[in-house]
Amino acid sequence: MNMELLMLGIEVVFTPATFLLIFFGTIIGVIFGALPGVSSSMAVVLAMTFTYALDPVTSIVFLVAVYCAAITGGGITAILFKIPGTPSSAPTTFDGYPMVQQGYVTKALSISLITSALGGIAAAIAMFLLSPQLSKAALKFGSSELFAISFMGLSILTALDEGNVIKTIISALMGLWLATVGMDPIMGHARFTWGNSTLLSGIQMIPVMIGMFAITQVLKETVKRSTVEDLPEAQRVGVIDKMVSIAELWKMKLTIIRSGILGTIVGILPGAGATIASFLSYTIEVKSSKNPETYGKGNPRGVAASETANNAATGGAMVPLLSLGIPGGNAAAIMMSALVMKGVQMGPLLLQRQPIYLSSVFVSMMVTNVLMVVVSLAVAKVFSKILAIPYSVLGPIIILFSVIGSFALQNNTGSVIVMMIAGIFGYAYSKFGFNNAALILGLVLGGMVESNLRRAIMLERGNIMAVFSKPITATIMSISIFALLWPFIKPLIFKKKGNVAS
Amino acid sequence: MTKQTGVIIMIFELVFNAALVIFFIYCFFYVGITTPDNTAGQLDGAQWSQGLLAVLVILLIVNIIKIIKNKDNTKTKVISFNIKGIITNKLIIGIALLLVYSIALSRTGFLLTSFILVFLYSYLLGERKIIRMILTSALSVIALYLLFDRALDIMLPRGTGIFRTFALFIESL
Repeated sequence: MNMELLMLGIEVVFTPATFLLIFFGTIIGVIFGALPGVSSSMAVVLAMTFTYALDPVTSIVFLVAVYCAAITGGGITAILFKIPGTPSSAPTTFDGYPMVQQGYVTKALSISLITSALGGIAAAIAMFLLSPQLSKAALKFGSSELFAISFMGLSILTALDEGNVIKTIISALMGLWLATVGMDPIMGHARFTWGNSTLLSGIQMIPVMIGMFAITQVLKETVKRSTVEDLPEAQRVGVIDKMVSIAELWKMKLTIIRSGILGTIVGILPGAGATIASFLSYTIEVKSSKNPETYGKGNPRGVAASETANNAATGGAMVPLLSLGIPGGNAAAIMMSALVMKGVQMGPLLLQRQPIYLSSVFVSMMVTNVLMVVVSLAVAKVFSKILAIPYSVLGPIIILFSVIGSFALQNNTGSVIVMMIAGIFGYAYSKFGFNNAALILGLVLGGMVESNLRRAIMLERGNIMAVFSKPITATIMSISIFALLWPFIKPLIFKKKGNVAS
Repeated sequence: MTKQTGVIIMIFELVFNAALVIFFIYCFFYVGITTPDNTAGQLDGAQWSQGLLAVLVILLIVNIIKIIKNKDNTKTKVISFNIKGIITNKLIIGIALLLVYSIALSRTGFLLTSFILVFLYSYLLGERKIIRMILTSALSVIALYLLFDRALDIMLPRGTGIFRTFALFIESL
């Protein structure tokens, strides 16, 4: 079965047009990801414009290539200029930049790229094996269980942003509320439309996403620009800088395996993503090392841990998306919107009825992870020139991409206005410490959360207790509530422990 | 005509939160009035929205209380603002440019409006070489137009009246 599935994916990906698209996606992904001020989510959202003329399978294959490559591209600037191109590459700067200062430019880059590819490939295999099982299990789920899973996706967000619990919950709730604008999914009544027929079809997710990811960032850069430091003069005396050898990689095998597994698991968790994966992996690497003092001073394992984990998270994030129809993070939410826009029914039935999605995404990830090593090395060589493109050129081009991306959805300038307003609102929102990602996740999951909860209550004839007392629902809801309350419980536990210790 | 006023940035956050509270309270009652009554044994669409809005209002009020409580601990940044300050504020200009662009787009078309936007926005972002600004604006707009309108068949807005004629003329070249 798996071989047949694999062949299906190979047939899709290795057609000349699709392969060229993946190659193109890898190039723009690496470049977008490496540019400071362009996150991997923004790269995916901007690349989405190219998918309007494509069929759904080719679209997801292309977007996956952009996503994987963007995460890898972020490591290039992190190493060369101490500026993470994407937030998930921030831990790469800790050891990558010191390596460059010591003269190991090629070594640092090759470790970053090869471990990224290894992490990405391992996670793609995990995705290929896990997704069908999860989707089969999810087929036995009813409305209450599906509600509980979607709810868990949102509740985990608060545990991940412990410093800002109330604002994160507010953001997620606002997303859920925004999803209620338009037609009631069960009864068909209009809600919050104020007599406007455009609002009947609901808030357009894609313009909102483009606005909140791209325009918000351009506004941030307008106020305060990310600066690029010059490549440091390496202390090259006695230093032989060359590609990392297989023997050196073999010495780092435990780091790579550990970070690959961790990144995949973190990627699967709804709400968590590549950034958390790389920070967590780096921290664990330092804590488990016999020589923790060498980290932050150019230890190659630090680069390997961060880059393996953030790329492994890309495969992980695709697991809940493909098997349950629940996005694992921002980029997955954007991909889901792109598929929904094309009429694809997301959910557990997707892989059962159309396994081509899984196999194509898998083959695309494998191909991208190999291609991006070559592309990134080439890009890194000319990167000082690419980075010389001033933001005064890049910023307006990002705006134009966003405009075209929003307009082309319905050939309507109204979508452009929605996108701009979302971008301006997103700026104020993030400036005041709210969580844009939580809002987007709430908006994407809103319809699913509402429909499943209401359907479950309807099936139990209004008995809410019966809905939540089902074993799977109760277990998932307990985990969700624990995750939701964790930021409040945690200080109490640690305070108690501290008292006992003292 | 400029009047110096000391404004604490925290006030903006409070106003933002308070505005959301007022808006959500209004929405709470609005959805109750505009949707039909509840059917027995169901959670209807209005109740779901009202539940969300109720929790939102409570949390926003908690957030407002938190902001007020923390005002002594946080470093409040005092910004002096005047009319000139607002007019020359990069953020305000950027927002104004984006809004005017998005509203004008349907009338003046993609080619001309985008050329002006790129020109002005690159100036806002610090570009001062006029030739480079003109080249950037013209090349980026034409390149994106060729890529999307011609190669990918995504029709971009042409505008109305004279602007449409201008767009058609450019397209015929």
